[in-house]
This record gives sequence, C-alpha cells and structure tokens, in this order.
Amino acid sequence: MGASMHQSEKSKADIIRYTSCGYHCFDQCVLKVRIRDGRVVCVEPDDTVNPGFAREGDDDGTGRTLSHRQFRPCPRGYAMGRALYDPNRIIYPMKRVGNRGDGNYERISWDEALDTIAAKLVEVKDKYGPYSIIHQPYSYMGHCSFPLAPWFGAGTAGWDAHSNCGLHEPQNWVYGKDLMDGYMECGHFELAQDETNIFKSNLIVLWGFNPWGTMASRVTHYLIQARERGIPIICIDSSYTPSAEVLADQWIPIRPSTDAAMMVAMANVWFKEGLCDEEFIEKNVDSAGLEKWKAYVLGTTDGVDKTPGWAEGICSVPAETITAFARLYARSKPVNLCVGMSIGRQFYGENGTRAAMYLQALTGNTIIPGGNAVAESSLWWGRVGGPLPWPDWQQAPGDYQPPVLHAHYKWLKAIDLREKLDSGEITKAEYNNAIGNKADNPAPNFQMVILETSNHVQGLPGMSQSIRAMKKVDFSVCFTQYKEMASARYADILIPQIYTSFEGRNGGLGSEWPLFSVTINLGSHFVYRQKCVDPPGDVRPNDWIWTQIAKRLGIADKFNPRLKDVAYEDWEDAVEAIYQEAYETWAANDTIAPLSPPSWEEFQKKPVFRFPMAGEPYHSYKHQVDAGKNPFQGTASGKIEFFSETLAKGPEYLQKNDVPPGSGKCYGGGNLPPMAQMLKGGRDTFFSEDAAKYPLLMSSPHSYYRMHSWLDNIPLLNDCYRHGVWMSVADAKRRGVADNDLVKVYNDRGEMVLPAYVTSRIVPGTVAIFHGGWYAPGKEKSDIMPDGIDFRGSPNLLTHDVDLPETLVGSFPCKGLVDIRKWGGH
Amino acid sequence: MQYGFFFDQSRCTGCQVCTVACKSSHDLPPGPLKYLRIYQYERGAFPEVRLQVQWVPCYHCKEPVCAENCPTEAIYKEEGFGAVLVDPDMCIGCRMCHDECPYGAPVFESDDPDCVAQKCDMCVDRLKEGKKPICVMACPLRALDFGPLAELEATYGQLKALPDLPDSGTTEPSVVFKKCRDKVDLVPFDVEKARTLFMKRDPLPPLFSAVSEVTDIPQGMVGRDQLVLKHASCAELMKFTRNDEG
Repeated sequence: MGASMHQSEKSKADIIRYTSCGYHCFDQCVLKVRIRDGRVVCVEPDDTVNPGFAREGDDDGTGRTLSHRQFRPCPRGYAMGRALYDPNRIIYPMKRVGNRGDGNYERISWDEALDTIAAKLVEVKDKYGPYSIIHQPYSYMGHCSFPLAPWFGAGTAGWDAHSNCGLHEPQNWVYGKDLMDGYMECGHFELAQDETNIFKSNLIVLWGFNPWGTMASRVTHYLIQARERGIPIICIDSSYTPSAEVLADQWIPIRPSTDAAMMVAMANVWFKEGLCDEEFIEKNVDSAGLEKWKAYVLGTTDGVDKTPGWAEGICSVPAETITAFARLYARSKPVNLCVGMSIGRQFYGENGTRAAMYLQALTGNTIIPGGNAVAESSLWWGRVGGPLPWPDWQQAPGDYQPPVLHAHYKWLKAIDLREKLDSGEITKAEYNNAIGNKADNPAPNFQMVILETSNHVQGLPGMSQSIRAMKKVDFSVCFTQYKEMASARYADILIPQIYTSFEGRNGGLGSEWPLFSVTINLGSHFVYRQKCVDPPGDVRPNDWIWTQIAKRLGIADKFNPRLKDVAYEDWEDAVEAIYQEAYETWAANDTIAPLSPPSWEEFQKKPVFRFPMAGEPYHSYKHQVDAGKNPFQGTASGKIEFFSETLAKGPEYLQKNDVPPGSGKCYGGGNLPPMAQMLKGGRDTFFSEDAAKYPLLMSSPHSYYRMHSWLDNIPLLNDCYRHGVWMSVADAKRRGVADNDLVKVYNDRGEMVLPAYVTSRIVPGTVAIFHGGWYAPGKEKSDIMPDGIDFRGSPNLLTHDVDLPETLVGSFPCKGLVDIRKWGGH
Repeated sequence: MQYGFFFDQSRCTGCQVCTVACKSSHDLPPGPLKYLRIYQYERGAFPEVRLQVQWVPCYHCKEPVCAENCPTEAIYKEEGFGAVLVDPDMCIGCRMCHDECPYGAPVFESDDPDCVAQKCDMCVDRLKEGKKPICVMACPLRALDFGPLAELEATYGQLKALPDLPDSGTTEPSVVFKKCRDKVDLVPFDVEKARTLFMKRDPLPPLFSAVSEVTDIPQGMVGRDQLVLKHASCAELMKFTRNDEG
C-alpha cells in the first residue's frame, strides 16, 4: 500500500507530453510520455481520441467503426522509455583504438570528431573522386541520402530499395509503374488501400504475410474486425504465425520459394473451368502476353500441364486443396490478396509476386472496391487526409546531381569487389553488372562510408562480405547508440545518436524523416514528434552535426542558411521555431483553415491532428478509376502485362540499358524469364542443388520485439521472447535436438550457436531465425568466421547476395540453406 | 462494488504489449516480476496445430484464497474496486499465497527465500483517476475491457472458464472470458496427404521417412505444449512466459 500511495503523490507533479516513435516503422503511434524530475518515467497508451474507450470498433451504432482510432503503441513504444536511459549507450563521440572489429573505442571531443570527418570528406573526394562517398540509409529510389551531396559535389544514389525490389520491379513490368512512382506523382500510394477497404472484401488471403509481426498491430486490429464481420480469411504460409491463428479461418502450409507453383496451378484451374473475369481481362489485360502465359500454364509450349497435381509435388499443398481454393477465390469477388514482401525477398521471388498480380487481374480484383493490386504487403496507406505542414529550411539549390550507380543494397558488394576490378581480375562491365550498374557507367569506388540511423552491415544479406568490405575502406563513420552493433564494430568514428524520440529530434534536414509524420492508418492524421526531455551525456541531433560539418567545408550557407550561426544552446528552440512557422503556415492554408486547427500552443499539448474522414475507403488506383483514367497507361500496351518485352530482350540488353530509360535501374545480366514461372533450383530455394549438402531452408522473418536490429538488447523486450531457431519436430528429431538445446546453425558462409525452438508450427525442411539479433562473436573462431562464431544469431551471416546468373540484380534474398547440429560446447 | 476484467481470447495474439506496458507503468525491473503474464503454447501435430494464448493478471477474486491463507494478513481486499492487494511491508515471503492461488498470481523478483510477494494491483491509482487499467488501454487488438463485474457480465456474458485454465474452485474470480474460436476449414485439406507430400523433395532425398516422425512427439521435445501457471523457480517462469516470435 505504501508504495502505491507514494507513487500517487508523486504523479501529481508529473508532466505529460505526447510524441511518436518516428523510427523506421510504417506506424507512427502516439506515445503519451510521463515525465518526472526531467526524466521519462514511463510511456502510456494514446488517449488523444476516444479516451477511456477500451474496445474501439465494437460499436457500429456510434460510428466509431469507421472513424479515428487511438494509435496504441507496440511493446517497443513502451520499452523506449527504458532504452533512453540504458547505461550501455554511447553518449559521447568516440574513435577507434586497435583493429577494426576489436570493438575498442575511446572518447573524443565533438570538435575532434567533426574536424576528422570534414577533413576525411575532402581527402577522400580529392583522392578517389566524387563517387567515393557512400551514405546510408537511404541512398535509394534514385535518391542520394548524403545530406551535403548537392553542395559538396560528391555522393552516389542507388536504385530501388532493398526492402521491396522483389515487389516494386514486378509492379513496373506488370502495371507500368511501381508503388513509389505513384507516390512521387500524386503524393500517396496509388496501389495501396485503406484498412477499411477490406470490409468490402468477400475473401481475404494472407499469402506469406504475417501482418501482426511486420506491420505492428494496427493492420491486425482491422483484420480482426473483418473476421468478426464474417469475412473469410485464409493464410498461406510456411509457418503458423499469430496472424494465422487469430486472423485466419484456415492455414494452408506451403514450402517457401514455391508460391508460384500454387499460383500457376490456380490459374490452370480457372483457364480450364472458365472461371476468369473475361470482361475485366478484355478491357485491362494485354492479350498477347496473356496468351503466352496461358500457353505456359496449360503446357502447350513445354508439354507440362501445370495442374494442381503438378503443383502439389512442388509446394506440398494437396491438389484437391489447390483446386477448391482456386474455385473459392474465383467466386468470392472482391478478393483482397495480401502478399508479404517476403515472397519477393528470395531468389526467383519476382515470380511469386508477379503471379500474385496475375491472379488478381484474371479474376478482376485489381482495381475494385474490396480488391487490391498487390502492393507492398498490400500496404495500407491509400488515403491522404490533406496537406501536411512542411518546414522551410531555405536550402540553396545544389549544382551536383548524384548519379545512380548501383542497386541500393549492393554498396557493400561494390566495396568488397573493388579490388578485383583494380587488379584486373574482372572487367568494369563485370563489376558494374554485379552491383546493378550499367556496363558503360563509371564504376563507384567507395572509400568513405557514413552509416546514419542504420545497421546495414548486419541488416543486409551476406554479412561476412559486409564485414570484409568495412575492413577495406579508407574511412568510416557510424552514427549509433552501441559500439556492439555490427556496423559500429568496424567503424573508425562513432557518433552518439539520438535513440528515442523523447530526447530530441533530427529535424528533417538530413536523412531522418521530418517531425510531422503520418502513419499508414488511413493516412488520416499526423503527429508532431516533439522533444520531451534532454538526452543523456552529450548526444546531439544529426541536423546540428551536419551543419557543423558543412561549416567546416564552407557550405553551411547553402545547406542550412537559417540555422548555420545558431549556438548549440539555442538549437532546439530554433528548430522548434521553424516547425511552428511550418504549422502556422499550414493552418492558414485555404484547405486547412476551415478545419479550425488548434493554435500552435494548444497543438503542442496534444500534437496529433486528425483529418475529417469522409467518403468511400481508398482502394488500389481509386483516384484514377474515379477520374475515368486508365491506371495502366505506363505499360507499352496500356494494359496489365503478363509478359515483359523488356525482360525478353535478355541479359545482354539488361546489362547495358537502364529500364525504364533514365531511371538508373540496371537489372544486370540475369536470366529471369519475361513472365512468371515456377522455377525450381536457383540459389537458396527449397529445391536448390545445394540442399543436398545443406537441407534446411532458413528464412529470417521480422521480429515483433525489434525494429530490424534496433532494441535487440533491451531487457524489458527480452522478457517477452527467446531468440532461437525454429525447427520442425521431424527435423529436430533427426538431429537429436529437443527444445532449448543449444544448436549450431551453419553453412559455407557462417556459423552461429543459439537455442532451438522445436515446434509443429513450421513446415519440415525449413527453419527460421528472426532478423535483427546482434552479431555477438565468441572466442571460438573458424575459417569462415575469422572474427568469431556468432552466439546471438544474426541470420544474415547465413544469407548471401550473389544474384547472377540465376536472377536479376536487385532481388534481396533473406533466405539461406543451412544445416543444424546439436552444439557440444559451453 | 466488485470490478473485473474481460479477456477476449479470440483476439489475443500473445503480443505482450500488456505485460510491457504494465512493467513500464509500475516501474518494475526486467525479469520474473511479472504482475501480468502471457502464456503462449501450441496444441497438435503439424499441420493440425493451434496456438493458444492465456492472459493471466490477478483476477481479483471475490473470495481470494491467497488472502485467506496469508499468515500475516498482508493480502487484503481493497474496498473501492474489489482489488486484491498485498502490503509488502507485512509480507514474510512464505509463498503460501502463490501456492494457494489457482493461477499463481502473486509473483517474486527472485528465488531468494526472503523475497516478498508482489502482484497485479488492478492499477488502482489509475482507477481513482477514472481510467481503466494500463493493460486494458494498451491492448492494440482491443482484446480487453474493464469495469464493474456485473456490467461486464451483462455485456460480454458469463463465461468464467477457458480450456486448460485451472478450476477456480471457490475463489470466484472477477473476470469474464470469450473463448478462442473453433475453426472450420473453408476448403478441404487432407492432413494425411499433406504430411506425405511434405516428406518428399524430388529429386533430392526425402526430408523424413515416415509420417510418424511428424506426429509422434516425445514429451519435452516441443517448446511449450501445455499451460503451466505455477513455477518452481523464476527461471521456469521466464521459460514459460517467453514466446519465440522474436
């Protein structure tokens, strides 16, 4: 009783502020922050709307079902309150002492850190030219994220993004435009949908998609509501996820990397039984390409009729189930086919994602209410409530345009391979081909690496290659919170970085997102991420850091003219003033003023603005359809294309041309077929020849308790889960493994030791290690793990990024063939 | 008036937001001092498998056997909301309350014999401010509710038991439940045939040689295949309350 009275008294003096996570998540949940004596005490649930209403959405009569909801955080939101004060954080600039990888650093002053970085920028650019500096993330989508590039005159861009090229590129081939193109053109994701669009569906299919794990909780909430309204949901996945349990009426287990077989067989049923939507096809699908694909499906070209009986031998879904599912799908219009990005994140993954688009087109589900066009995890981000406030930094136009010289995630490969180009072992064309650069483009020579808000060394496939690369470069800087993170472990300078949104903000000048941020939730609101408390130690915002470097380079008047002379003590107030100006300008806008937005002072108390919600839910291409426009005008035929004439031009063409012209996208010399096919073999697929040696196909799903590798070490979250390797009963039994035994997971690329989770929830022959566990080298070393075998479990040690010749440059493999044995060590 | 909880098992994914929010707001240390525990366990053999989740705070019984059996009267029934509370200053750490409670609701920070009992306090501080408990408002799937027990029973029904949950005996827990769904396949699925299909990987060797390798599951082989609410040690509590979704 005493303790609770004590808390009650103290809480009267508490300050409450609101902010949002704002860190690499589709959701931007509202965090109610309780502050006592200048420190965050805890995070509490959103009460900025429907306060006290526990079961939002239950009551149709009140209108709540389709209106605004609280943005309740996931466990990470609450745990951030503790992460902020983690005693193991880096809170001062540091420099490496000893060898790269040893992990020894010592504290230096801000001046020394900034002087060193500025001097190195100049030195590396002078010595190696403008294509020698790589900044991550997100030098992607043709954009360079190095904040000083336009004025410093150095830096490069990558094409597409590691996350989603397995979906985006097929969207280009099939629809003539990908998700991001639509975003750039009209400010929202044309291919996407509102959460409430699913209420208009007659069947929802979650294919390789665990929304609970990958889209935090909000999408799951809406899917539960759809299920409770009686809309049938089927989950097709290689493991029985919480989504499969709670959302789906039925789980259909399938082998990873064989989705295309089941999809092709479904189309086979439709063609033979006349179940296609001929009217939609006539109007919207290119007939020449369709005929070619139909010939493949029916076997008139290769003599193999791709029936459900053919497919069951590949994907292991019984033929009768495939047939019945195909019929159910065809008669359930509108069907909402939600395909996880995972399907595209494997070799030949573009076949599964393309085939999914074909399924929706054949049944006329692409552009109708309740249907969808197979966006990024069927991304729920369709509606945009209205214009957002936008800070005006008054940056000067730059005169340097960074060229696209690689596929986004190939930058570490570009470093690792470079010595082979320099020694003449490979030609420039071969080098460029391997990294997704056009044969006759200049080859990048990355010698200075700047990692800001990312842990790419661990997050990208082929981690051993990434580590090799980081040891080869001239100089590297890592903005981080922990020297134990893999990217930091190999860096020369560590910059202490803002960890949580409570302690400060990166205002949007650099690579971080602006402070006014929208979530996927109906795109119906924005949150202002305001500072709540001071950061620990001497952690400073990235915008301040880049401005100081810009001053040293003599370009601060162009990079940040409004704040270049602001003293550090006044920095936060000056940033706040720019955001206030942005807000007030926005509030006076003709569209916004009638909505009576609160004054800046009022807004700061509850900094969440919710737009009025009206009209029908957004579905894929709704704006185009409503305006009577053809959504598919980007393709050569002006229709949905099953057969890509571009890919048909073959490897030689794809190596020398960017597609579409001017995009910088160079697919390299791969052999991906011009239309979706089920291809067995290929690297790290279920039927690879390598499976004779390494019989278990590992996947690396996203964890609910980390954001990529972020928060892997937070005890409050570690309370919730064990980071182990999922093994089926059959696979475990054969290896003498029981639950919680320590096992070694290994292949020719990496080795790690972690506990086994033995379960009936995963299909035999496959295992799973969740992405983002920090590489923790132990004393035991091996030829392939010269820095030490991993004792936490970082699955990218077991993946690799050698695409060619099987597929196109740019596919992002998150799978690897491995074997497992019981570990005898201690 | 007796207040209580509603738990909708059909909506619960076992995500543990409630447990983290609980620890955060009560300023509890990481580890076994979990006022609120989430148990996830599986049933069945591939591919006929179900994932069960049980949400276990204190159900704040009307006739709390923990209080009845407490030798020092450290546990008592709070009057405003009917919360069952423990006064740590009076607790001698005998663990009788934990042993008597059907659900093992009183928890301990360590296995140290001097360690005193702590437990879910129904967030009485929040209740006094007119709010609902933190776990209820934190649930992103809106699987929980809280209120006067009679009102909850009127809204959500009278179900007081869930499969695998121990019998409450005479304690009268202040909770109503909605059970997870029984599932009916939308399309036919031949389980035996599927098991055989998953065995083969032509032209590579088969993955296993008999369906029994999937269906015969030796005891102790699978991670968590039963609901165990009372634990011999803190380590065992952690083992049963951690999932493998990360």
